[in-house]
Amino acid sequence: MSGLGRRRFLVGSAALAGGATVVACAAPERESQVQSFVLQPELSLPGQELWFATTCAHSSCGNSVVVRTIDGRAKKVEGNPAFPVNQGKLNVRSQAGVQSLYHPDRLTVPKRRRGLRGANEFEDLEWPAGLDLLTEKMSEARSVVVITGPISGTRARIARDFATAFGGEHLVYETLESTVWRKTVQDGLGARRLPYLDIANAHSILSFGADFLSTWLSPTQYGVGYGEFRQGHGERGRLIQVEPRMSLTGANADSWVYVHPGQEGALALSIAQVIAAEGLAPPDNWFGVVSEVGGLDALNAYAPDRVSQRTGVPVERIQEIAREFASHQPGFAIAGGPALASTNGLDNGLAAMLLNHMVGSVGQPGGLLPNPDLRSSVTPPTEPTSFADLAGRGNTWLEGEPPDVAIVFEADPVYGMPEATRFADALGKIPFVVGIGTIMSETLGHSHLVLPSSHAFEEWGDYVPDPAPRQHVVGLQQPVVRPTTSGRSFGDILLTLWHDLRPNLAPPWDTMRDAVRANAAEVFRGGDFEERWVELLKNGGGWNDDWAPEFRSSPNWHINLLAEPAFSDNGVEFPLHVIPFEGVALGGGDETANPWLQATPDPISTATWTTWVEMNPSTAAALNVSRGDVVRIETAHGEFEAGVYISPAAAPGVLGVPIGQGHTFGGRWREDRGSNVLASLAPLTVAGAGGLAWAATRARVRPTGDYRQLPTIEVLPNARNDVEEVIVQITNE
Amino acid sequence: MSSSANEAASRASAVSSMGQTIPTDAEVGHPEGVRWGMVVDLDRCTGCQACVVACQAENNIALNEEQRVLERRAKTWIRIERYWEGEFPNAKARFIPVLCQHCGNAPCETVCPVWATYHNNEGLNVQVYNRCIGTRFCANGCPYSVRYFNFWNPEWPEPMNNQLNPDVTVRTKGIIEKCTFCIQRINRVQVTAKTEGREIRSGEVQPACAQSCPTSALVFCDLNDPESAPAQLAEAEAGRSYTLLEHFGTDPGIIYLKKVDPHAEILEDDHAPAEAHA
Repeated sequence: MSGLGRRRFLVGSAALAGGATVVACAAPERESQVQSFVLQPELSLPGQELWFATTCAHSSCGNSVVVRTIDGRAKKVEGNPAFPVNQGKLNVRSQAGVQSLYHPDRLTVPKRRRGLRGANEFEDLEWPAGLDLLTEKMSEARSVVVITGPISGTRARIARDFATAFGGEHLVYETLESTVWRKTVQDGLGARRLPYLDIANAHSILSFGADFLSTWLSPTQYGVGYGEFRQGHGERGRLIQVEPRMSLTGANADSWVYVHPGQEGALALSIAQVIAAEGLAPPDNWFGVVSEVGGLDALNAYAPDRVSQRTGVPVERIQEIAREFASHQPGFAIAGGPALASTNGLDNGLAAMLLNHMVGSVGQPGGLLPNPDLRSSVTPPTEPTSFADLAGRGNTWLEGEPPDVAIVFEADPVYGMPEATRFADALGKIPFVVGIGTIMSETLGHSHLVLPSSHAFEEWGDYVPDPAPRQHVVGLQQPVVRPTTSGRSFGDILLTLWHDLRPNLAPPWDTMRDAVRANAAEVFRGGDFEERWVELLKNGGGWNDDWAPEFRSSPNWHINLLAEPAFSDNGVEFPLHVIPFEGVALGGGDETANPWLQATPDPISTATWTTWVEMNPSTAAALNVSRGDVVRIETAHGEFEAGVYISPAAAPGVLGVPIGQGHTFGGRWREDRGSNVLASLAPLTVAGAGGLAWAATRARVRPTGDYRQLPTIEVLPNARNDVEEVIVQITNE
Repeated sequence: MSSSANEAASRASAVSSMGQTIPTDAEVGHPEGVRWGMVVDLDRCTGCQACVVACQAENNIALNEEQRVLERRAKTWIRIERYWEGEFPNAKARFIPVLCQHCGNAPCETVCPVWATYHNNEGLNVQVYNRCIGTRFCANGCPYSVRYFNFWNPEWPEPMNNQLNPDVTVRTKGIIEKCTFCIQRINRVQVTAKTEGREIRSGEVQPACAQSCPTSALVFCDLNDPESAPAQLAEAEAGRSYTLLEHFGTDPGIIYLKKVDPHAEILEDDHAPAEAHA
């Protein structure tokens, strides 16, 4: 028994005699170890579950989760019942976090690009070599740009201050950005923070395109309220959804109303006109407001008979909507989705906001309620950089003034920015781009250096939910498993660079954990902090009621400002409207690598795994195509292919196309699948807000002659849905 | 003899003594007085699919890759069926979560030649994986199409296998699987309650689907407990309540509450979809 001491032998024997158990703290096989029952590692008892409160993603979606771990492995993600935003509930994407944690195609080591941009030729590096390369480039850099997704809390503070310390700026990229709604809230309510929608206590909701049950802002929070809205109180809430393409929220509405793209504001003003003309709300509520935004004469220009043709909504229907909305108060109107993604989107939003002022739902229970201002010690959630600003930066870089280094973290503008902006080329002008993420993306594929980041379940952080649930909330993120790759936290990478290169400007923390803890101590003062820290981690964060400012009494707007929407084409060469949409599972495309999410049926079409185009039967008949036919959709700025899905809810002349597919990077379940509609959009902006007018592109459709069976869950009696006939008809003959 | 075999034997004798009639849960009776069931309020359900992914995560359901969907062999113990009513501009989408109905008078149970599927004394339609020989008679007999056959061994590329729930058996090729009402969670709560010397609290058992549901459209309950909130809800909303394909006499353990449609143009009692889903 040379080399095996008596003590080691006894431990081994005990393990074998007692039934050895293999314990690996969330580790792949190479890290597995034999562990006896007698000497258990901390927090690892066979079969015993442990629950950790944390968050599911780096973004500010606002959900807090509890993760069930067994033997150091994450098993299941559930809603944190204590957290005031999602109250124990969870949406599809948050639940899939465990699958992205253990994704087999995760980045495991740093990589340096060897080939051309986008050619996917990389060589592996050790971390020290990767960091040395980055440090070298940073030390030579005069300016640095940091591009991230919509991050929050301490992470956002570090990104912002880091960029400033290195003579640059922090840009926040969001696929379908919330810029226009934020500006609507600022101008319409005078609020700095997004309002709380009191859905649970509302008796009616009039939504202009806001898909709040699926992807808009904080869908889990809104879903909890929606259940109560429908069956939680005496009067069942009424939902009216106005939009050019039926969303999931539209599918759940009591009244779904088609409106021509970009005409939501005209319809909102027409509803306002009916409310005023028919006295559906007390004049004390609306007379002053209407006077401030242009007066009754301006409003009367939007009488139903004057806008019916323009909006595509019959006169009687406009009157019915006004009566239904005004007679079921309290309630509120909101705008989102395509309503805000037209060139006149901000005016559409403000017209909708006028309705809230008229029916008196601003600041009232069942209406729009103010969220508390953030304390000075809390870093506000990052506001997305508008499309116009981002495209403008790209133009500057193309014209020869790029920063020396770009650091990109969990943002994929190369995928999401329309090709017409040439953003990928602009990024290519930057001498050194480092991409940080858990899995390859188009933007990482264009980077010179790729650094693997830790997963949200492997790192420290904090976040400020936006919109907040009428409380002052700071959520905490903590590692729930040992890291499964060599990935490092984005915050830790920046802090390391900062201390190495600008030690005199660096913050006092060495790690993200120190930073998060220090900030928590600042935000949650009083008492013994050690005890409080443990309590905060157990609860997933801290929250309390706080003072909230009052809203402004009328929108800072004028009715005459409402413009006609502009489109990419006059409608002759490109006669059809393209309405891209985010699906409940794939969202903007950042989670497309996840097979659970790919396989989750789109609620409207029940389609999975591909890109389809929703088409009205009459539009399909005119094009001589049917279900499953592959068509080429051409815009003035690009083209892509999609399978036809005939939808009885699709409007004639409107093409609904899901966002999310069409990647060339990202692993086995994401690459070379479907098409990217965003690339072919016209680079039009929303006036006054700068957001991408993603609902303003027109297109034409050409059949390719190909057919591909659509991977849908629904089964139709029409055999075209299936490859073969399943029922054979037998007659007496 | 095991309790399940005992029950199977008693059920078998009941069948022979009653001729063509299969005894329902109510006729057999529940020794422990529990009948697990669910109330699904379609007026709350938005079709958001949260329950679908929650179920797949909890129950180690194989990845439904594209080819599986195309072959109609995707496994979804709970699925959201979507039905269309009408045409543009008056088209309406209707969502209904469909899972094993845990029928009191289950057609799948009587056709299994090896008693792989049987009815337990808590109202659950149970599938015993290591008895199943894959005849698929039960899947053919189920009017709800909620039984799924494993045509392949499931695969989770490493390290994705780390996410597998150790409380739930991974099913292999050649056998049928279906919703269990998260029986592992029921067992866990029962053991905890027994250890603590108390009864199970109302609402203490939560299948993964009901737990995740943002709108609380799915509520799990003991249908035999008249004091439970869901049971009271089903009673109070009797005008909206129905069971799926009730004319088959399967005595489902899932009670649906109809969606309220203030602009309904169809007959109140017409559940028939405009287009058949499956």
